[in-house]
Amino acid sequence: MLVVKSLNAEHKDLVHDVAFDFYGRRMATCSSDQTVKIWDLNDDDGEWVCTASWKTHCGSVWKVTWAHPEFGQIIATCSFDRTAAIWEESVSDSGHGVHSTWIKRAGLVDSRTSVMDIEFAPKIQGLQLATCSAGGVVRIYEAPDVMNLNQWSPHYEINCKLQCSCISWNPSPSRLHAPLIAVGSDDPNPASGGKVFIYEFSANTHKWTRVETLVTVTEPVHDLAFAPNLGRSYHLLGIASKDVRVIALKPTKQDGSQGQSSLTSFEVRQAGQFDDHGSTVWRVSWNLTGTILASSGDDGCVRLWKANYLDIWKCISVMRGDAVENVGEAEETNNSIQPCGGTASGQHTARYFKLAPTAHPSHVPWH
Amino acid sequence: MRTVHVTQDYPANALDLSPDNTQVVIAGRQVFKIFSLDENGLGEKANLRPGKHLNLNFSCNDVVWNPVEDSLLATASTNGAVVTWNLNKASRSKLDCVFNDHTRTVHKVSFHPGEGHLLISGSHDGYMKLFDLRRREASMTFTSNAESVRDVKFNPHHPITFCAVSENGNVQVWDMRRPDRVEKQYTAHGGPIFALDWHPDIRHWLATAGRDKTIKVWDLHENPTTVNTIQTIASVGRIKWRPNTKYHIASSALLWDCSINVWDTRRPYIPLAAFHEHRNLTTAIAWAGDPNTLISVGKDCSLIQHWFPDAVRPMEEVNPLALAIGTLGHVAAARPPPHATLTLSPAQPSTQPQPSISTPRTILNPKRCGSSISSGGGESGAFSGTVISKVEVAASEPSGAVSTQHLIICAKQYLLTGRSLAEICEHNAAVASGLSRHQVALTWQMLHLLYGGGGGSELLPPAPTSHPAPPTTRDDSTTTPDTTQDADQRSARHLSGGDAGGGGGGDTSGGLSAEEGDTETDDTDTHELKLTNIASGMTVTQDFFFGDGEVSQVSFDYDPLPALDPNLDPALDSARDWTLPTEAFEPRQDILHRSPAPPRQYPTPDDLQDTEGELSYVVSGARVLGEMAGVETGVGGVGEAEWKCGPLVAETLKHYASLGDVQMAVTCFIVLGHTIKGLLEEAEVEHWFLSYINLLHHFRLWNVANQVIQLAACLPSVMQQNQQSTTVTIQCGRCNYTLSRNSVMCRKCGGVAATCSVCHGVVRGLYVWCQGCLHGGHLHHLRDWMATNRACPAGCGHLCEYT
Repeated sequence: MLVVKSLNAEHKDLVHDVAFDFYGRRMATCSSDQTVKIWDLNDDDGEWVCTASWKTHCGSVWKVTWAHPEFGQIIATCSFDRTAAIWEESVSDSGHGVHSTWIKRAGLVDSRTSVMDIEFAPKIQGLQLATCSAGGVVRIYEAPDVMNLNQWSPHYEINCKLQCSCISWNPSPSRLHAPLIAVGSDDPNPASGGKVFIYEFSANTHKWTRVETLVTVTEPVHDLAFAPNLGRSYHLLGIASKDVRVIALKPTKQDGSQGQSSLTSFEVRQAGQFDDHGSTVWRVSWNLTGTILASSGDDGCVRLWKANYLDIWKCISVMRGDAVENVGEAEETNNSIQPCGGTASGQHTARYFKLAPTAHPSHVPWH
Repeated sequence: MRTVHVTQDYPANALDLSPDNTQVVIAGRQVFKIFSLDENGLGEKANLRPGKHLNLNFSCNDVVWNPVEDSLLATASTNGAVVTWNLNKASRSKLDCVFNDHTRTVHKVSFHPGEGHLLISGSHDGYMKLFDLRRREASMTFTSNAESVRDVKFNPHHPITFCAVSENGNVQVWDMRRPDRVEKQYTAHGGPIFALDWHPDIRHWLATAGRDKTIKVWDLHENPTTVNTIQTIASVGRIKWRPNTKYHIASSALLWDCSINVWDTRRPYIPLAAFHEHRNLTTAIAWAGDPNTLISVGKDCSLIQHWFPDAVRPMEEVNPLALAIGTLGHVAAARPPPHATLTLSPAQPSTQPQPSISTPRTILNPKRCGSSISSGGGESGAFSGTVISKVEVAASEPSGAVSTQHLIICAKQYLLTGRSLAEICEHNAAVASGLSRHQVALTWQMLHLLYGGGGGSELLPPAPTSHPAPPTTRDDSTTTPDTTQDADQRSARHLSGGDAGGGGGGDTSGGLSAEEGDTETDDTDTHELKLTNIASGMTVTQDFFFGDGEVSQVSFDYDPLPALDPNLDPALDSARDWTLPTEAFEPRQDILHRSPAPPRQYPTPDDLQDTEGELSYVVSGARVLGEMAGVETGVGGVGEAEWKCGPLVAETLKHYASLGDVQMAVTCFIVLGHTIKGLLEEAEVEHWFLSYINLLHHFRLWNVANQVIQLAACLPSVMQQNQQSTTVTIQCGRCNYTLSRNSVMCRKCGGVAATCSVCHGVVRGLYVWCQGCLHGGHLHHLRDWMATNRACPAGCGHLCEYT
């Protein structure tokens, strides 16, 4: 299923984020050692080659994110040093090989606290950037002129009241869906209520308004991600908290009389909640089509989740260090009578079969 | 012990502790007080600033407590005076001596650690003066050769020397007996140095910090070398080594950052602990003798006693993991090696049990955690410094769950237009089945049958006419979910395809076979052969595939059913078939069901319920198809033409889209064109198109994306994508005059703009030209020409280069 390759990253401290570019051929890693490294995929041998490494901030770099390539080769970073920065690649051909340098185009210094997450808006919303800070402030910047990356104006400032840890734009390109941002808080106090907030942008009032708070999520949220929406009528939100959660947000129909001015209300449904990691879950990430959710937790595993035809989310694969365990494989073999011990962990296998007992031919009463 | 706040009216600039750590003195421009420090916290003990209108001698930049004589204090005044205070004085004013030797503000004063009568000062005038309090005079002057001396301190291990740092970034080590000559001098920082601190235990270690936002630890043993460099986020104003530890140092910023950070010098990027109590800048810090109590004053007028175990631990709260899925199916993950993760928690140096900081990571290794708690006041020995993440990238194989390979291949190979609907469907079905996407393939086949006209018979074999003994209907129903789940586990996409496709295929073929059974049977053999091939290919990649034997067995079971109610309209069976989606991926099976199914659904209410029960298990697609069957019966027709399958197909597309397979939705929509238009909301379809185009861009399939855009005829907003912000100007190759639209004639020079240099004819279509001389022409002409010549065919003499 998966061929795992280890990179010699040479970061001198924890790597906090890794991000693929739009085409999946470049990768950026950022670390507490204050550097960012860019890796390019070598098409010939499938190896990742580090093509740039530079010091970006005066503190740990928490997140790195790519802009849509239409705007150029641009990344944004955010850091413990309370700033975010925009970097653009400049490629020079110096005779012996192409050399790439990344130039700082802008520093966003509005935050008074550590900037925890940063993400570019979907392309259709222009060159916009959302940041969230440990001080609970979400800031949305825009480069009014996409050709001039030096200028970023802070357009909106939203105070979330709670310290923020993660932010995600809803990537849906549909005009039926107003721009949405989900913000997660890692406030450790369960009494402070829901930790995930959904903000919607109203084109009429030009304001971001909180339209939803996920009251069921009271544990600190470390990461969240909207699934790419390729045609669903509802949005999926993956949440990394003490467990993995998948939340479906279905916009409920608006009254025709109110038209566009009214804000969307959502029907919130929890599509899945999994404590398979048995420990804090730190990251979640969706695949391109929004059908598979990956999560990683303190148990050192990366798990892949996928919905089945009943819209029940299940683990299909576990990457544990170097070993890849494929639960899906076990499931596929269930045509045979063997209990598919295979590579799957015992616990997993057991769990799976409990959920789908009728899947086994031997359960069928033949006449 | 708790964190204790005391708020004053005025901010203090400096603080120091008495030698026995029981009293704290704070001093500022308008404050000069002594507090007692005990279990009860901080209590005001004395105010050394009697009255309001006092001279500048009372305005302090720095204050130190005499390490030998605990009644003696010294302050550095903003007016350049060095003032000593004797607490034992009977009078109200404790002022003892005033030395007006400096001409500018005095930044720091420092007592000799062993000889209490020696006091050194560093001033903004660039001089350091050694005062002898017994002789009440400045006995020596040291010249820094710098604008300003910011900090000065005796070496606790070798008190005959002292160190001074200045605004030009230099560190000087002086022997106090030799004012004429500096013992050591080197440049330590790229800007002003604001603070220095000798390591309390290690002999030659010195820490310096300055405006370049770094704290540097130096080993001065021989030539000064950097042991560590800590990059902080703001200019560093004060630093203090943590007592009884080797690597911990506290710092406070001069600007911008109100918090106090405690660093482990071996992990110079994230503070080990942080205190965020101050609301404004912290002006001075000091450890109260033990490694857990830190006293600080700030511009927010408060004096705070911090309790180290209550500090925030940025190092433990950071996100240690990274994860991302790439467009090409790469899964990248970064994590610290297991043992490193564990050492994060032991880095807590407190002697007390940790109060609130029980990170989940401690779960990973309780043993280690326990050892850290008992490890005593210092850092745990287990902490080995840096924690380095391991970065792994997993590339998924073509058949993997996260792989996007099938999307790319389908996008490249699907036909969207240019042939008859039947041919397109057939081709696309072949592409899909070549990728083992059998449900999708079946959907294509179904569309073929629904819309492609009579040609459908080629695709699906007719039902085998006679088969042996039947199982009961119940059997049917039970097997159905079974297979459904098999497929489902593999991938929801396949399943969904099965729902729609299987149903469609079975249905139509059912109708067909009933009417024209004979002719179709002829085709069956060849077709089955083909299917078998596909099937065998399938087995390679998919474990859940039914072997041939199994399939025949299943079919075997179904056949008898017709016997129950042979008179029923064959079309009805389809209703039942819809619930057997996964089996549909084997067309042969569909057909098998077709005949048996009808009887069981309609004859008795019981059966009907059964079916419904099943239906509820199956995804919406299946339900849709159930409806479709209903529609069909309503029409009562068997022929495709009369049957309005549109809504159903529309539902199928929606179903695909909701499962994330927007590719299928869009390609079907394009292929079906006007037949399906009007049945779907435009905004929804637009969403699909935009998503799919975006997807194709992800894969860099620009040509396919462009084709899709062009074919989105009914969606102006999508069509516009090609026309926005793209301008093509055509210029005459001879005179650079911009040509008007749709014209090959140049108005300026009157000639035809694009003539071939070889044949002198007008070039329509592909025009190749040399970038050097701009001459060119027909591709084949130039290719022939360049095969034998090097010079330009136009005769301009340029040696053209074509690659």
